[in-house]
Amino acid sequence: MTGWVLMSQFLSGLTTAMIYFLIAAGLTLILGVLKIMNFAQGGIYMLGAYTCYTFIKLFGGTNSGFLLTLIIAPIAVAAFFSILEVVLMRRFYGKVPLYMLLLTYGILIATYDMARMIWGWIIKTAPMPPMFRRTLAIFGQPFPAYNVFLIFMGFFMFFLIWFLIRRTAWGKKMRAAADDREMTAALGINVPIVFTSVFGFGAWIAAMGGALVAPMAGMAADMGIDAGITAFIVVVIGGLGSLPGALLAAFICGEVLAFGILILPEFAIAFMYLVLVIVLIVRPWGIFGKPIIIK
Amino acid sequence: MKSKIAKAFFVSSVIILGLMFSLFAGVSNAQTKKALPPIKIGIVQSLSGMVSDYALEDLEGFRVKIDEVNGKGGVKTKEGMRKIELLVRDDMLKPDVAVKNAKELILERKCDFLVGVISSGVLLAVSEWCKENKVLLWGWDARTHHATQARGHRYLFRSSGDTWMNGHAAASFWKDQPFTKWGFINQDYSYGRSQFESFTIAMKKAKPGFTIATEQWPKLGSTDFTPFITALMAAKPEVLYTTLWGTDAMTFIKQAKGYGLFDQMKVCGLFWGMPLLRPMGGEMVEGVYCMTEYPFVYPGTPENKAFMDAYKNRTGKFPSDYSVLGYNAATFVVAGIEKAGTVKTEPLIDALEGISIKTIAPAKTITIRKCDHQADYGIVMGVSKKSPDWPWFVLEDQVVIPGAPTMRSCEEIMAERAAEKK
Repeated sequence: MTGWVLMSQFLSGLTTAMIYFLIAAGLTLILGVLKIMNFAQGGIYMLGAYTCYTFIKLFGGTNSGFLLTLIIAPIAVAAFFSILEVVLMRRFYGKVPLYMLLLTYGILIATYDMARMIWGWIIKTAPMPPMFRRTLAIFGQPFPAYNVFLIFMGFFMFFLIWFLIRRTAWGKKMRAAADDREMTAALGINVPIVFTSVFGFGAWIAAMGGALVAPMAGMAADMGIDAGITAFIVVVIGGLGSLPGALLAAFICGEVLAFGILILPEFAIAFMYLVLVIVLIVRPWGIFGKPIIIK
Repeated sequence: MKSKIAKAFFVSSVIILGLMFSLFAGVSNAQTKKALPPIKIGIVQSLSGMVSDYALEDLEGFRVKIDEVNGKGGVKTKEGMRKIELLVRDDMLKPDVAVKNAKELILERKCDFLVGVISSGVLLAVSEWCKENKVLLWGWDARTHHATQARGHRYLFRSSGDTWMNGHAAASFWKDQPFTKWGFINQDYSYGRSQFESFTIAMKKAKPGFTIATEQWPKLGSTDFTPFITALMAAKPEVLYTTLWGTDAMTFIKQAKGYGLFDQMKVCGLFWGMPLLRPMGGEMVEGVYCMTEYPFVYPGTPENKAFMDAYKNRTGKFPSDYSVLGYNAATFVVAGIEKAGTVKTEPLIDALEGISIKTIAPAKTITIRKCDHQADYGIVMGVSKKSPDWPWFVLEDQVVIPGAPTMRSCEEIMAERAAEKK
């Protein structure tokens, strides 16, 4: 096994990591700010993929059509879930957390049936845009052009989210509202609107993840359930509500899987859980999380 | 004021509609009262969950045949013509729910027997209940070979192939090809594992020098296969054998295509027929060895054409392997009832043992073997190719692999069952 093979395996792991990150980023944001364990996140991801499929078909599978889809599809899905936040979720902030869990879980199941009603019962896949239909050679090893784009988009999303949270007024309001709802409201900030925007933004991230995965994967209405579990594990490893944590956790999980299967292919299914177990033993609050102090 | 009028209009129209419906219902009741009571078939199937798309196709195929029979006035029994009524229950892919459904269908709804089951885990559970309660169970799709081998019994029949036959059929094709260095990628759960086992058992026997270069075990429902693809390519097998299905197969093909995996090795996929080729559309790769029980486009018979039309009328879609599995099951059951002249369990089982039917699949005829109640359903190996006539790829150079030689011998199965009892 030469070094180039290992390099190729590293890049594969990075692709996997980016998919994990795209699924988990929205979840960790919503968890951090709204303190909601949003089970519906997987469903949003799935709807993002299906909406992307519809738009790509609508635009005839062209390059520009694909790029346009990446702009339209996630926004459409995010708009839908922002409305849902206003209509449904607003009633449950500050109440027993169990209500919110049940609500988001209910939404997850509803998205599943919604997808089946809209898109029917045959599994689908979005066509690969023509510009990505080729294999690049990186250090002499084949690497699909689309994976390069995906890795780029993963980092782009990370910096975009980071910038919006850390460097904009909206981000400041969001962080303030996350720390102390009443105090922020007392300062004249419309907290419900901030919350809606955060939820919508989280949904946009998940839908973008789905849209980016659509051309490289098969889709079924239940794809969101597995994605939701993956997202949850990544978020727990990275630390609840931590964005860099989610990126690092996704990276670790992706690379552990990529190199693990070279040595122990039999245990592919277990690697992610192995990382989870180790982190939970050594640092129960996650890599970048803060220990929870019970007052 | 306006709303009051609207309300009155709404209420009165509901009443009128209701009256009309009850009138029609009365008429149809009066008609059936003269006829014999219908034969009740209970269907246990996973209509929600991962496999629901395929599960529906099984059911629709079954319904096409039942509609055909009911359209002719029903099945001929000793008492006279009897129509068939289906009672369908969703087991949600859960064995315990399936057993509950089976109980309800048999004990409360008084179904004459049970048909269905797409999941292996569900089949084993329901089959156990049917064995204890002496209820006939006809399996149409679930494939674990343990169901009819070690854990088989008098009350279970199966009209689809099983994992043992699938692996041995693949091996009977590849043993004559000059390749010995093999790679594998299967989902890490019972189906993927037993398909891997049966193929490697068969190849080790049939092909001298057979070696496993690499085996990869992604989990069921993976979003991403890239690390597995690079690992497979690094091991450089001559042929890759895989039983990935559903979205996993699609994801794998799309991502492997990006890596150029298909240029480096031959790939053979089990059940990569219509259920995969149709949703893949133009994204499929040419030159892939695909195994399927119903290749959809082949020198078809008039019966095949008739089935395709009937199915298309009913569902608006073309049939797939699954639709034919359902249709076969219905054909068997109807033939059995006609032969026995009754739906009483014991005589019906006697009639079904050794029964043959004609099928629209290239296997042509299927026979239920007496010793283990397993059908000798054949399979087709074809090579994927773009088609000017269809929006998806079709299979060329089709080779029909008969089912009977791929079955495990009765002696071996009986010996295994005896060992199981001890």
